[in-house]
Amino acid sequence: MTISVSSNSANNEVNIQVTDQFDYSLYQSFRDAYSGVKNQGTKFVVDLSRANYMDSSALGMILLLKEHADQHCGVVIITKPNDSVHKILMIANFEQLVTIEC
Amino acid sequence: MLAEAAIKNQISKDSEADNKVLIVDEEQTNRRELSNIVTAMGFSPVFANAGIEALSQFRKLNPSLIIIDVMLANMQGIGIAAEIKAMNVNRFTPIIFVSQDSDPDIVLKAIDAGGDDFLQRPFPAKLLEGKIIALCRISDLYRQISQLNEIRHLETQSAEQLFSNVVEQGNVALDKIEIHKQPAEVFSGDVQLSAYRPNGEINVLLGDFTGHGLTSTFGALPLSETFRAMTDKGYEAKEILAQINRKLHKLLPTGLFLAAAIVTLRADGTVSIWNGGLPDVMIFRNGELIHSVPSGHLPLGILPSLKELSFETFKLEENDHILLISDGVLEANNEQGEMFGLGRCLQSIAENERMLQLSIIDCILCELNTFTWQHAQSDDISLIDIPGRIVSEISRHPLPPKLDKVAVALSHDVWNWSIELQGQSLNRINPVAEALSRLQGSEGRGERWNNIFTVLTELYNNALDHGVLELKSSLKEQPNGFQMYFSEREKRLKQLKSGSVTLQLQNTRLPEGGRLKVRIEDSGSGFDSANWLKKMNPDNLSLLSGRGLYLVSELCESIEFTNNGASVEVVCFYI
Repeated sequence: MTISVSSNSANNEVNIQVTDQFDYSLYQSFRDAYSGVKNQGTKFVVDLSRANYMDSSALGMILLLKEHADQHCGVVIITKPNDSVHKILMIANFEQLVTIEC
Repeated sequence: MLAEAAIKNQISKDSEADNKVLIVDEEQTNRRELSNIVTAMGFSPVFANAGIEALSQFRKLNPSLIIIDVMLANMQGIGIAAEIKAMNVNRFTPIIFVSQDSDPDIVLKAIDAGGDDFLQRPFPAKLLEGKIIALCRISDLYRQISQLNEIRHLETQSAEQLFSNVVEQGNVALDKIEIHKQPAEVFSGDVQLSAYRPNGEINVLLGDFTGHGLTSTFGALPLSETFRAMTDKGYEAKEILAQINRKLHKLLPTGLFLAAAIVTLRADGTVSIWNGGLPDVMIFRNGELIHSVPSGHLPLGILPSLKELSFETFKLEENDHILLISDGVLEANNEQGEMFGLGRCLQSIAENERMLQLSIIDCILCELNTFTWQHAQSDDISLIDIPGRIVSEISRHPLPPKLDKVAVALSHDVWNWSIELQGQSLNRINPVAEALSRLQGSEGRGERWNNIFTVLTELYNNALDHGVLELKSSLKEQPNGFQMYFSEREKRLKQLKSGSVTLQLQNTRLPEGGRLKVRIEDSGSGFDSANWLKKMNPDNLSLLSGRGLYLVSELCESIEFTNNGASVEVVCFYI
């Protein structure tokens, strides 16, 4: 259960990769991954290709990220969720809130 | 030096009541040496020989620290440590072993038996002093955590009591609806609610707040209050959801929200279902899944206001069952980390139908318990089973009171109220609930309004559906007619640009109760009311349409159509 962050200042992008279980235990480290980024128009990419599970508090954490991004005119993109993670995003209809790229 | 003094001071202050150190050693020289060190640190030394004496001194004196010589006869020191740790599970009393021998095997045995540190003779006094300070720090932390845990436990318990009193005790029809709730902690983030509308329809809601435990229940009180108050006043599910969403959005911090599904079941088995973020709501007939309503919306509390709400409407047979579940059911894990899943759910229900005839919930739980065995539950588990028919007490209408012309003529307490809705406001505002709020506000609450609510609802729906939206009742008679009728209704409502309905009330207060004149007028072209009134008799009640007006005529003193049927006026009495 880890978060790794890489940022590319050239194209104003922050990549947050979540590994294994995306749940409440990652709350602080997920927050730390973006809270210091205050550049306008940043693209926050949440890479879920290595996450195998996600619970409702993780959905809440995405909402917090979206709030942060909105405050700084940025966007949130969720990429490569596996089938079960994707299903959770779909049940919650999160495609209405953030871009989800499979 | 100063810092050290401060720590010592801290130690003696925190443990004034029990600042004893138990020294388990049989050698006088050792006892004297250890005793000098701990006395200098502000502790009082007490002594014991190996065996029973050490245990009984421990029990009697409750020391804050124990120093044991490993090499007591037959290695008894290690046995004593193990026994003390075993009888002291709820507290932390550090044990330091002292030994002449530094054989790694002995060190390991001592630590395994529950020793917290090890010291080889000869040692400088400062070394033991340092170890004591460090261990006391840990036992202080341990004490703080235990206290916090205890406080938290007490708080959670009393909050849980409040929660179940306020949130759950108001639920209705619990003899017919089966509710199972299995929280992951004392407190569940799942909320189950049921309440009757004034016309006897029942609203049932299953909600799942983000996370579980105390924080996930912040929203439970406003949720249940809004749900009950609005259902009571006769508001429809979509209005209730809109209001709950508004409240939760305002109240809950970002990241906390409510996945929910709401079911409205009418006495004739017509059911409307909305799902925002829960697993599929399922309908079963003879153990077989015949229909699913998947989540089609964001959960509640995320957006400031809800966009279009779509409901699925379905006609149930008497033995059908609606099943609502939280994701904790499908995602329950077994020892191998597999999830329970929908397949196992459906299979258990199908098998049960052939063999056991348990309730749907019981057979899912049987299967689930076998599957998870003793693996700890990580999320709240909720199941609600609603049968195809629920007839509430309040929907059995008592006859309306007799007309008292003299009292009406003598009354000097009359008020008029009206509302006219045009175009999209017909899609947005529920004039029946507004009217009922007015009546309750001016004439008091209670069950007296049940008949009036039925009358208002039937007449208003006729005016809107047939007058303004020009829907034909005959649509309902086709296969799947109910779904078609209601989805067509929703579609036309959304596109509505013109058309109007006016609702007027005139209330006359009487010595007992009152008289209510209701007039509803729509912009439509009317209908053949004369022919309809002729046909109206109880034998036609089995038809799928026309029952509404028959019911109205039974509940009112008089019913009169004018304007080619586009206006209707009724008079009812209430006590």
